[in-house]
Order: sequence, then structure tokens, then C-alpha cells
Amino acid sequence: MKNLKDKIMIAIFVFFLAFFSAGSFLFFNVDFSENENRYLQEFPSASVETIFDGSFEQNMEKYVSDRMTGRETLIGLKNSILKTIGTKDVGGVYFCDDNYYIEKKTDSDIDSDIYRKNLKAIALFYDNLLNHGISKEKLSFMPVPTAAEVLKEKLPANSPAFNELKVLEEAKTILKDFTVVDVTQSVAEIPYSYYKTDHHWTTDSAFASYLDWCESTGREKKVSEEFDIKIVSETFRGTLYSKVLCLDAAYDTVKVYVPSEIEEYTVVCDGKEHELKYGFWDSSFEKKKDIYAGFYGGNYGLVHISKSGEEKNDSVNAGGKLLVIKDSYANCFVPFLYGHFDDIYMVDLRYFNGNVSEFAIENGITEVLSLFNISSFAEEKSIRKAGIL
Amino acid sequence: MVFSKPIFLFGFLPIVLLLYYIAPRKFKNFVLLFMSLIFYAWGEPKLLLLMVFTILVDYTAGLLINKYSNKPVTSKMIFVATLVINLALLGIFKYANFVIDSINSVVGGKFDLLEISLPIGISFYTFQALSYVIDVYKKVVPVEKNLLNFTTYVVLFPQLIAGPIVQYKTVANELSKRQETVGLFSEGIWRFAVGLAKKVIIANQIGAIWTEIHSTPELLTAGKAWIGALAFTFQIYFDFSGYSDMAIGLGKMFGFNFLENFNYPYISKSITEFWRRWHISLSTWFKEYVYIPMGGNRKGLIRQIFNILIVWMLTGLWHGASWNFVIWGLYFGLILVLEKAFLLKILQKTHAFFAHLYSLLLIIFGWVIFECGTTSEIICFFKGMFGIGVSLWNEETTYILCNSLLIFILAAICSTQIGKSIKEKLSGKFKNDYWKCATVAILLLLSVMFLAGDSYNPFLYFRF
Repeated sequence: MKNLKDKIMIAIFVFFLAFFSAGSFLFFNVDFSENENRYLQEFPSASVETIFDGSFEQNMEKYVSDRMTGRETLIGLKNSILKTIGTKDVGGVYFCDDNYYIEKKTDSDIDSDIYRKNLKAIALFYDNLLNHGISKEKLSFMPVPTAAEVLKEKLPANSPAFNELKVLEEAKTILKDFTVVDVTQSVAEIPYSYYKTDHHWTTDSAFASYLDWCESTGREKKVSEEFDIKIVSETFRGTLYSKVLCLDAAYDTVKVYVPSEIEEYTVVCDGKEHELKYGFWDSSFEKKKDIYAGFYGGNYGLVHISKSGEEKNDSVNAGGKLLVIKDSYANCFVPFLYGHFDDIYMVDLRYFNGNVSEFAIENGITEVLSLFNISSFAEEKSIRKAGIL
Repeated sequence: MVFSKPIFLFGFLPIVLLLYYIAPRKFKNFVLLFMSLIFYAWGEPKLLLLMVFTILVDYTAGLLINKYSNKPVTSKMIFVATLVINLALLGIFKYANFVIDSINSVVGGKFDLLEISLPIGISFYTFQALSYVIDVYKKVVPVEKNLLNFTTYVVLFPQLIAGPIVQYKTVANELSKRQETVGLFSEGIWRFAVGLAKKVIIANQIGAIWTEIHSTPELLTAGKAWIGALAFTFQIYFDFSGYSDMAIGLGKMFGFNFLENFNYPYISKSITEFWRRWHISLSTWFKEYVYIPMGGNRKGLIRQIFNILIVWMLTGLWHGASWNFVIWGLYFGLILVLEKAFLLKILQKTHAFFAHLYSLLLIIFGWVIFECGTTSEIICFFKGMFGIGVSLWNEETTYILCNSLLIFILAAICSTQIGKSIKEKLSGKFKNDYWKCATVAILLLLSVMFLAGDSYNPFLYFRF
């Protein structure tokens, strides 16, 4: 048995090759990766053309890589090991205290040129509406702070992050003629302000910010007693989890604030009427991976929320019409605005193909709120559309 | 295709092993040849033709040189013509644009660059095939009449695209008759697993540190510059020696014994020693086929210095068609000349610590020249390392250092005597070598974890 050790070695190796290639040779594998929100590579078809232009080979590489047995578990294991041995960030995600994951954004990620252009685009858009008689109190901008700013005590020691306060000051300067709602303080007072595994803020934070917005725009606030706070999920693992897939990742709780007196609303998303629980919640997402997308069922170019029933017809436009220019952070915020307006239009410039100024004037908008996460606002290239007059 | 990709490990390798071991003896080389061609053509099939052409030229040259071996003039002409063809192809495909670009920038010309892409591994396979032609001409090895064997030698996939540069004479026997054994196969697995781990666990992680520091020069501090330079020093060693380990390991799986390519280069006490331990197959090639034929050290000191500088300029150029590689080569050539002249004697007398420090610093500076693409980048980075125009340290530097300390310690252990002696102690303690099986299992599992993220891309909907 002199070479028993060699035989064991060979057995290990053969098992290793067979086990991990099984995923690509057998065809029982899953086809959709929820964490990546994409379909995995199909087995590519070979032809003289695809072989010679290299696309067959590329797709084949992707196929084998995508179908590797236990791919996501392996990634999770790797990142868990890295985390255990003290690595502070993986794939752009900081491992923070209390098992929080926080997105890594440094000065080099923030393009101050784009950021300034975006602010100026909003200013230009608001200027135009000023000329159409909307007062400056009714033109507001709410930059949502990042988790890295609000929860900076949880970040790893010495970790680099962009200077958010400076960026915020710049917004206040450029938009000084309008209403800038700084919610940093209020959000910071919320105990569970951001999801531990997702980049979004929690509904609690959105509610606190709603109160700030009421104050800044001079509106009567709804109080939390007017809501029935429902937990729709306690097993949410969001986008930051999807980046690291660590086995010991936290589970997040997603809440919705249901008004005790539910009014009737019709919600039309990109031209299609959408049946939503409480007027904003797509409960089918409770069974899916991305529970945050349950607010309106995700992002659309245009969502039109209108009060239905006789009430509205009786007093035309008495409640006014609000236009929200936004990113996904607004999705859990906008439900608080119900009741203050007869019509709410949510526009996501990434998917909205039209002239926002014209849209606002044509629809008789009486008030505008721009709500963005500050770091994504600084990176977003579609905002300039707002400035097109 | 490269070894550290899922497509190789979980697609190509199982197939080639299976085919190789079910094929009868006389078809084994054919299987290797056929699969190696697929390996080479993968992704860029057109450039296969160039390699096949080189092979045919060199094979024919071998036959002709042998045929006219009693006619020195004829055989010399054939030999020279073959050299010219080989070097011309290498020159056109690898260096033409570099020459055009240099001419343009020096005399302000406006010559258009050629639209050619660099064939993968051209420097490796050209040197391999040339070693055969030169040795046949010098009658060091007998001519290879079997085209299948010769082609297999050149295209053998383990060493095809990143070495080691296997000289024909070292594998001539194994090409026609070799014995695959269980022992050799298991040794091959050990080497392969170690190499894979070196590449995907250490080189890739530590390389990310260098990339981050290198790509944000505006945020440089002196501390970061040193961390970055050290990271690259480790990255290139673990990357390259890992690849060589995998190649040697794969060779053994098919019954080949390639010569070693690395021997703990970072424990050297002089640059002369470093180059005996780093990329051994390349330095040997240049020594045997360029330095010695040029006269080596047999034609006086002045000529020797000249020879050394030429060889090192060529060594630099071999690494890439760009001026920083020329500078890098000459940098080492100059150090070697100085060491030959007097430095070696001093180094032998100094304490080992200072000899190590001297070597390591010069090696690190060398890698900075090697990896910074342009002279202005090189100068900028050196300025950074010496704190000129940048701050010495900041919070971010502390963060990067803390975050990367463990991988640096691991890299230091694995690239020096410490790792070597751990291995020797283990071998001494467990005579039966079962610890190697366990280690291989762990290394393979860890490597596959690091490989799994290869196509994982969760950024697609991140902003939504």
C-alpha cells in the first residue's frame, strides 16, 4: 500500500473536478439568479461564425462559471471567511458593527461635476416652475443621507468615505432659492434607520423625513397614531447581502405604515393600472427576494396615483397635484403624502422619456418634490433631463 | 484560456484528462496535441495559423539542417534563415507598433499603427521552438522526425501561454516514451493545487490592493505607495510562480517533468542570486542562447559588460514592447554589472539582514518600473514612495494597512524560508505524507471559493 496516499490524492482531485463541473454538465441547474437579478448563461450554440468571432467561447466561459455547483454558497463561504479573519470590506461593502452592511463610497466615487450639473438641472427646472407661479415653498429637494453618514459610528475604524456634509452644503447653496429639506438629523434619531442588508432606508426613516418635509413646506403633519404599522417581512436580505452573500448575514424587517382610514386610490404604473394593497404595497413581493420592491412593485418611469371616488370630483384640484422626481428611496416615502394631494405623479428619470417641464405644466402640477439618495444623485446621469426646458 | 478560470478547471481539464487516459498509447500525443490546439485557439482562433506556421517552419528547418549537416554553409544558411523568420514574426506581431510609436514620438512622424493583436504566448512558443532549432544546429539534440511529437512539444498546453520555457532537449525523451504513474500524477496534483491557491487566493487578493492604490494616484500617500509596491511585488511572484506550479503539475499529470521555474526568489541576498531563482527558464534561455554565443565572459571585461547589458535589454523587451521594460531590463543589467565588479564581494561580507534588505529594495524598485507603464508614471510613483509632493500617511493608509496585514503576512510566509521550513517540518513529522492529501483538499476548496465569484455580478440592478 505504498501509494495509497497517491490514490487518495487522485480520488480527491477527481471528485473535486467532477463535483464542481457537475453543474455545467447536468442540466438541472437553476436558470435565474435572484441575487443578481439576471438569467444565467444558457448553453451556447456553436457555429463556425460564433466560434471564429469568439462569442461562443465567451459564452461558454460564462456558462461554466455561472453553472458551477454551489456557486453562490461558495461565494458566501469565501466572504464569511474573509469577514471572520478581519477583512473590513468586500466588493464595495463594509462589514460594520451589529452585522450592518454599508456601501463603500469614497471621494473618488463622487464626481463633483456630475453632481453640480444635476443640482443645476433641478434649479433650472424649478426656476421655470417659479415663472409659472409655483411658490418656492412648494418646490422642494430632499437629499436622503447615506447609511455611511448616518451610521458612521458603525463603520470600520479609519474607513474612507466621501465627505457627505460638504456635498449637502453644496446642494443648499445651489438650490438656495428653493426649499431644501435636510433630514440627516431626523434620520439619525431613528434606531433602525437603514436596512442592515440593503442600501435603502427603512420606512421609519421615511416617516421621520416626511415630518421634516411637512415642516419645511408648511403642512399639517399626520401623526404616527394615524397609522397601523404592519410588518410585511422579517426575512428580508437586500442588495448589499446580494453582493457578499455571507452566511451569517442579518435578516431585515420591512414595515409598512397603513393609514387607519384608507382612502381609495387608483395607481397607474407606466400606463397600466396596478392593484396595490393599501394603495401602495404589492404583496406578491413578500414571497420574493427583493421585498423593498413591494412598494409599488418596483420602479417605473411614471406612476400616477389619484384619489378615486366622488370626493375628488366635487372639489377639483382642491388638494393639488404633486410631482415627485425620484429614485427608489421615494418608494417608501410617497405613501405618506397620500391625503395631502388629489394626484401624485412619480417620475423616475431613468425610465421616463419625456420633457419633465412640459409634463409638469401640462398636468397642472402645483407642487414638486425631488427626492434622491445623495450618493446616487451625485452619480446619476439622467437628472439632466429635468433641466431640458 | 488560463488555468485559473472555471472554464479550464470544470470544462477543459476534466475532458482532456478523460480523453488522455482512455486513449491508447499511440494516440496519447495526438489527444494532447488536439486539445492543446483547442486550448490555444480558444477565443482567438485566427492566431492559431501563425503558431502552426512557426511550427512547420521550425520542424522543416530541423529536418533540413540535419540533412545538410555535412555541408556547413548550407546548414548555416538554413539556420540563419529560420532564425530570421522566427524573430521577424515575433518582431512584427509583438514589436512593430512599439517601433512605429517610438519613431513617431522621437521624430514626430505620423506613421499609422498596424492593426495587429499580440498572439498569446508568442514569446514563449517562439523561444521554445527556437531552442530546438538551435540545439539541432549545434548537434546537441538529434533531429525530431515525427511531426506529431514536435508539434506536441511546442503546443503542449500546460506550458504554452505562460511558460516555463521548456527546452526541447529537456523533454525530448518524454515526448516519445514516457511513463505516467500514480505517484507522478499525485505529485502533479499537489503542485497544481499549490499553484492554483497561490494564484487565486494570494495573488488575486493582494493584486487588488495594488490595483486600488495604483488606479487612484491622486489619493497617494508615501505609506500607500510602499504598501502598493510591496503588494505588487507579492502579486507578480504568486501569480507567475503559481502559474508555473500549475504548469509543472499539469505536466506531471501527463507524464512530463518540466524543470523548475522559481526557487524562492525573494530570499536572495543579491540580485545575481535573485535572477538564479526568478523565472529560471527564461534566464537560462538567454544565458544559453544569447549570452554564451555572444562570448559571455570569455572575451574580456568590456565585452562582458556589453554582453550583460545587451542580454538584459533583450530580457526587458521580451517582457513587453514598451520603454519601461527596456528601462527595467537595463536597470537589472546595470546592477548585475556592478555586483560582478565589486558589490558581490561587499555583500558577502555584510550581515545577511542587510544583504536581504539591499536585494529586496532593489527588487521592489524594479517592480515599480516594471508595472508603471510610462516614465512619468514611474517618476510619479517613486516620488510618492519617498514622500515628495504627497503626505506621508493618512487615515485611509491605516485602513488599507490594517485590512491587508493578514494577506501580507500570509504572502511573506509562503514566499520565504518560513513557508519552506513549515513544509519541511510537516514532511518530517508526518512521514506518510497524508497531510498533503488534506492540504490539497483544503487548498482546492478554498481556491474554488475564490474562483466562484468569477462571473458573479450583483451590480446589475444595484441602483434600482
